[in-house]
Amino acid sequence: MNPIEENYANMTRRSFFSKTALGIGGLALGSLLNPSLLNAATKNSATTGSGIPNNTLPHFVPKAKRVIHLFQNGAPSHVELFDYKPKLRTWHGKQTPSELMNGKKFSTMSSQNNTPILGSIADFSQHGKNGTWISDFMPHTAAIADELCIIKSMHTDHVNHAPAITFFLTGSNLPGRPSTGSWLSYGLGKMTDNLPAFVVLTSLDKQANCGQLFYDYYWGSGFLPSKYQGVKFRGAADPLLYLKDPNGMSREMRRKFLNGVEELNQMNLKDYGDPEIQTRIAQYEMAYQMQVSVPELTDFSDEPQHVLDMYGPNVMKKGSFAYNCLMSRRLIERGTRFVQLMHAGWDQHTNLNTQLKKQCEDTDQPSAALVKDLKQRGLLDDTLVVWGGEFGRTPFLQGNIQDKAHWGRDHHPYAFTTWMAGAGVKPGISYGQTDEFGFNVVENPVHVHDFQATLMHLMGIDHEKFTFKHQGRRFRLTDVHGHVIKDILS
Amino acid sequence: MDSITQFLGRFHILILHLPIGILMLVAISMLLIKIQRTKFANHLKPTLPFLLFSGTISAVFASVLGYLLSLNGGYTESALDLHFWSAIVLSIIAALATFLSYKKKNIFHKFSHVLAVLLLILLTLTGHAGGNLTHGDTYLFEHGPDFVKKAVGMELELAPPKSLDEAQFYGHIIKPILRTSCVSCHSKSKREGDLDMSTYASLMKGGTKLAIQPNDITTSEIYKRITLPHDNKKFMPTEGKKPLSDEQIKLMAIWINSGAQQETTVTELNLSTEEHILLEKATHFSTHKVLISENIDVTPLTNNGFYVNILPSGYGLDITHYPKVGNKLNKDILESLLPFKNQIVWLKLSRNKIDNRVIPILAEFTELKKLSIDGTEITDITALKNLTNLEFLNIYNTPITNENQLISIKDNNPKLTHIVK
Repeated sequence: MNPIEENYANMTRRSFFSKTALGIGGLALGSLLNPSLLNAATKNSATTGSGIPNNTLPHFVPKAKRVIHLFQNGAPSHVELFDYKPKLRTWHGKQTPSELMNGKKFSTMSSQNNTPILGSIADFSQHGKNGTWISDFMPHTAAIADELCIIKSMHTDHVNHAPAITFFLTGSNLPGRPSTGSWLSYGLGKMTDNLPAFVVLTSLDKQANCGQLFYDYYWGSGFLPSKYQGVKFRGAADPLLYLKDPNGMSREMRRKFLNGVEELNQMNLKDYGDPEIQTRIAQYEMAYQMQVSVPELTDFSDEPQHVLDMYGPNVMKKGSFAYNCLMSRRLIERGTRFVQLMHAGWDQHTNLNTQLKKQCEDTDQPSAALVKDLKQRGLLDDTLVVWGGEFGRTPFLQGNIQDKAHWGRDHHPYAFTTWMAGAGVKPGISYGQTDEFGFNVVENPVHVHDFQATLMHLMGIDHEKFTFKHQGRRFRLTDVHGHVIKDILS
Repeated sequence: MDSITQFLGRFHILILHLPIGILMLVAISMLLIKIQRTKFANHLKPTLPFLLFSGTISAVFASVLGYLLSLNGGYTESALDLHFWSAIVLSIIAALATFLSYKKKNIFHKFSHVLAVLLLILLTLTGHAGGNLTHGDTYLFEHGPDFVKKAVGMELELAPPKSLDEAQFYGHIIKPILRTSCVSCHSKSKREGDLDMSTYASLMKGGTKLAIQPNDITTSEIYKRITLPHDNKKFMPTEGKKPLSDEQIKLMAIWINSGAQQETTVTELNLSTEEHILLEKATHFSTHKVLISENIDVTPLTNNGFYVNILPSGYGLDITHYPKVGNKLNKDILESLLPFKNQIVWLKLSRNKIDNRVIPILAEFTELKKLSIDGTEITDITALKNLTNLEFLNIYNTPITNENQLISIKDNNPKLTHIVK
């Protein structure tokens, strides 16, 4: 049966009266509590051009207005890249001390009984004013050491990729909660009508060797209205399809058509009040705007050669990490609030000696170029750049110590490194420490929820106050946890 | 044995409602009879002896169970005493009334209004004391209107200050510290060391020793205790609770040394710059002047294609114009910002096709702290030297080549520390 007819059929006299009575009562109550509720065009929806749903935000003057999250899916090895542990080389081949291993959970992909320490395959050297140790695998990142706030004491609750990534991005290991970008675009609104507030860029893994998938719930809106979910640009060829109207469809006709569709949708919205109808209306409109804004956005011809050179040789290759880094900058210049750039390929269980360097080559120069480019344009002043994965990698070996070609490291949730740069964080510092094996955090631990609380704080939001009521409970990005890391705030 | 007393004791909570209900009813009946002497009242008369009898029995029963419950401890003695004795007196009065109603009807009817009022007073007293025991003595009034709180001697919650300067040093800065670190043990009902730190008055009264000696940290017991070595037995907060931070300790010192007044504001203290910076760091109160009210209407700006962000606590407006195909920023549109020139603190016009013609307009925005005109065609910014609040200026990728312009602006604007070119 047609759902509308079905609805009529199910509507008995009794349910009609109870529903209308409840509705009218609720409306009356709602308007008592908030007199502006029934004024069709409330001031707030006007102030933003798009409607800030929560007019109490931001809670305080924000340091950051935009975020670019360079998410390193697969978990880069902290002991090869940022957490310099010379002791690993002197212990190379010896069994990991049992007091470190006891009671720890690992992915079960490596043997728990034979865990020889693996010396770092990368050399480290000191960079920047504070002599920060950074891997020689990342020469470009090392060169911007004075811009970075390196957190070496990250730790998480989950030991496998999808749960840990979901945890990092949404605050829960189970799919279904809103991701950080969704929370922010819901809370702070959008800054432009031309482009989505929350864009996801997925990069091609150069070797496509790790088979890491980018699940859509990594940027999902969970229980928030779905217009707040991340808009994904494709990781290959054209970032967006169907930008051009088909032959015979003029821009004016498209406009008229969309106006008509919107009228129909508005009628339906009036009948059912389903926020998903609002989402549909908003997305049609956004798509129409993007037909104009995206060709300009993706046309790199206005970038001077020296800027293109900064991002490295792959910058013009669609779907490459370098291309996406430049795209991130262009997006935030044009009013996008949150860019989540996904890059896979760091999951080196059996190919550390070959793959790690390749992934570094792929990402090092563009990441550093992005920070430098933002800085030279004055954008780093109110843009936060975040680089990091979902966990670290074990200081011990996965594989056979004789079989150098297949050396690897397993998942390690007990310590990893993330860096931030830009708005509101102290530049040129390292925060937190791990033990001499890089195994456990021993100083200033930063849990994933602490990280999220800090990111919210930089955006001017008190993570404890910013909630959304769903199924009878007020949800937060940080659940019931999280402390702002005040020591890294500038 | 213990567990059986505990088991029975907990029925106190259940049974206690019987004497309350029955004795309340009987007391009201007694008053009605006294006042009205109507036919209706006469119907009530014969019920009195039985009701009084049931009320007495249930009161005695509740008292016994209550005693059993109190044996298991967990209640402060002073608070318990009142409940205990008023319940016993209540039972005795109820028993007396029962006796009179059966055996000395004349005396009973003569004095029934006295008995009734006595019963009502004792019921209220006992019930209230019991309620305070389980819920704490602030439970009943903590959400009351201010005049009620004042009447019962509770300290009012202060509204957050508009700016740091208006903050009350005790109410906004010291009290929150005490509340998180001290009051869990030094409250009205717990009173470790006989010290109650939950209100200003009780704090100043001190405990076994004087807690706060205004203008002298060396004889203020609180200050001594919080600055002891952490392993000292007398160190506070004790029992492994989080010690006060260095900043919090300094704030305590500033407050005590400045006289430890209740309502003095930060401005009135004439703090040194250093102390002021410490305060800014340790509190979240805004330190800026308030430029906007919360219900500012910025519709004219959004209608003109500006993105408007209303910064909180009156900080000001953050305005951006993103270049958009077919929506050019020109002088007229920019002029629509002028009515808000005293509110706009951040302005971003990056990459818009604007040139020197807009500079006279921009020069009027004297509250501006951040200005981005990067990627525009502006060549002459000399007039911007009027913007004396400017801290951040972005002229990246503009045709401005004349270094002298920048130097003259910098000389005029001491706050301008961040120029991107």
